[in-house]
Amino acid sequence: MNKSTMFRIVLLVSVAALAALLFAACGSQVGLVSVPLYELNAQQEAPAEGSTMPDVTSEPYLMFEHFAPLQPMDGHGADASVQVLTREEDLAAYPCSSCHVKPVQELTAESQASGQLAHWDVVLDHAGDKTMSCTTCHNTDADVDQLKTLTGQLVDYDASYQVCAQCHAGEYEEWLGGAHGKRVGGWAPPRVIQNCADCHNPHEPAWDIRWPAMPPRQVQEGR
Amino acid sequence: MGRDKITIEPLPDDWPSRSQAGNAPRGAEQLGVRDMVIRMLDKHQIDDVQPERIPHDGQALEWNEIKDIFNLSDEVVDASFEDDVEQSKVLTLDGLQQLLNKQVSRRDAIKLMAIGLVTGLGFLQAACTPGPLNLVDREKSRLKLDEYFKGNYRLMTDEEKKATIARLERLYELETGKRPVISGQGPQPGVLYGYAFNISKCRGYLECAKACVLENNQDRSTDIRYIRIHEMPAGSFSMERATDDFYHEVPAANHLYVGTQCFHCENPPCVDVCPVQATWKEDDGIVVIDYDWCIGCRYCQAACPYDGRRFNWKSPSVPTDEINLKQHYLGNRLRKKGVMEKCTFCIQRTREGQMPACVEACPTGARIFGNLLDPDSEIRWVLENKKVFRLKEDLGTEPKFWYFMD
Repeated sequence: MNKSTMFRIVLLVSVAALAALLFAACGSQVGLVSVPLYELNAQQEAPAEGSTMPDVTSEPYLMFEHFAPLQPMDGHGADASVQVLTREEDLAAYPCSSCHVKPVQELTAESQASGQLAHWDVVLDHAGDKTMSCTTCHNTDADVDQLKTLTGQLVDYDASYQVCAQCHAGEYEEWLGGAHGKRVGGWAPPRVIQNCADCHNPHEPAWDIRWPAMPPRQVQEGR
Repeated sequence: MGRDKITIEPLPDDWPSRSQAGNAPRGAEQLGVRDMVIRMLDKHQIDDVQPERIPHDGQALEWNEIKDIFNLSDEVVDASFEDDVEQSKVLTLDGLQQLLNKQVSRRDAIKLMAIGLVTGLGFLQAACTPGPLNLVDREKSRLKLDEYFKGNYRLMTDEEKKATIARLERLYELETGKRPVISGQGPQPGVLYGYAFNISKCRGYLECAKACVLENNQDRSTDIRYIRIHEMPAGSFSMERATDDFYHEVPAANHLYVGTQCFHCENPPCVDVCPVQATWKEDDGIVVIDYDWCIGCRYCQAACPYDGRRFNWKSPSVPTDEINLKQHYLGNRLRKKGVMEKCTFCIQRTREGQMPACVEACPTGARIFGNLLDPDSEIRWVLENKKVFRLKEDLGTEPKFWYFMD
């Protein structure tokens, strides 16, 4: 190896080192430049962001809520990243089996004879009676403490969204993502969302037409 | 004792100075008027004045009482007044020189100075203290004086922030009888707040506006509202054809309801135009106002393209039992008259992980709020999966408030 070859190698190495330095410097500078909002997605894909997640939690606002992990439609175990408010403690007459020990026909005959109508306040106005009846969702003779799907599979009242999702697949998807429904607690993790039936009455799902909560402004400011 | 001219003596070494007493604020009674007078009389060996009779707070005294306290003969005073008149006839000296050249006995001169000290400080104190001098009013006026001379919130040290918050809490307690808890919680790292509004879901119930008024202690008498819901005919998206003073059963057939409030722009024009830098964007994206630095010029209101800012013509009149005591310095504390205010994304709630009051109150789920920097947040899902748009995007204001439909 003669002197000029040595010189060339040294030159090559130093040029490569310089280039690497320059590249690194430019690369690191990208993080310093203020990024427009529309590039936030790209910026957040960087794995380093996990370390600077805020130290905020919704837990204090969830102390009196009952919730359970989401049970996805595909049946692949519970998804702990989404928690859904449970329903059973909200139901006045749950468990159903405390009354429904006999076939429904017998119970109906009994209540008509005594004049004491059970479920007198339930009016079914959901998709029309050609599509739905009580037994579309409810079991009447066995397993009365659970709902059922169109194929006769059992679903907990706490997971009643699985029953809704059979027809309302689009709403279900947006509810899972966050564009439909309401979150409970705060914006910070953990994510707890309301069940379908916390907002919608499943027997009469239509929303009210009603007066606004406030009258229009009486004082017009200079604006 | 001979008749000397009044000479101005150098201050004694133990004269209470501002540096010795620290920078703690002092009322007139704390300046030690009586101490000063007693020291003055002692120094000049005047012993016919009873020190305990010298008043030490700003009580109003009759001239006869003062003469009595200082044991001053009528002749001295009257003679000096007569001298005044005569001298002013013959001499062309101006008033101050006449006063300085007046020949009085040394004892009387000292006494007159002491009287001046007592009555002058009494007047000063009376002037600085409105109304009757009860303890509450005195504390209030002292707190207000200190509040008046505080700086911009962003330039305060942590101690100064704590001190002003303590003063404000005490002031509100004195004024309303209820002590609020004012937070100075700063932005969290890794948080940038974003908001999405589902036009298909909003039904114009105005539960959001009601919750906002209650949460943010807005003035009930001028009916300030940060949120407006615009009712517009479906089929086009035209703010010009919208109205925000509807009052009928909602939703009306074939109408859309679109809510607006402060959009917390990434590039806020309101901040650029503020001549005193009383409004700025915090690190978590919330545009805030320092109500005590705002001069009420309303430039920001003119600069905002979204009608997001409100000017308060009155200090908020809120029924005492409706005051929200959970407050934030930059948020819902009771504002002064004549300053700007607006939506702060409920900074007193969101900085602690809670939802803004409007999001929590919305019965239809039309309002979505969350952290734009959290890839798992609902707001990010909406931005990535729905067709979102913002108002007046061509202005480059980059609002952090998106609209979408089902």
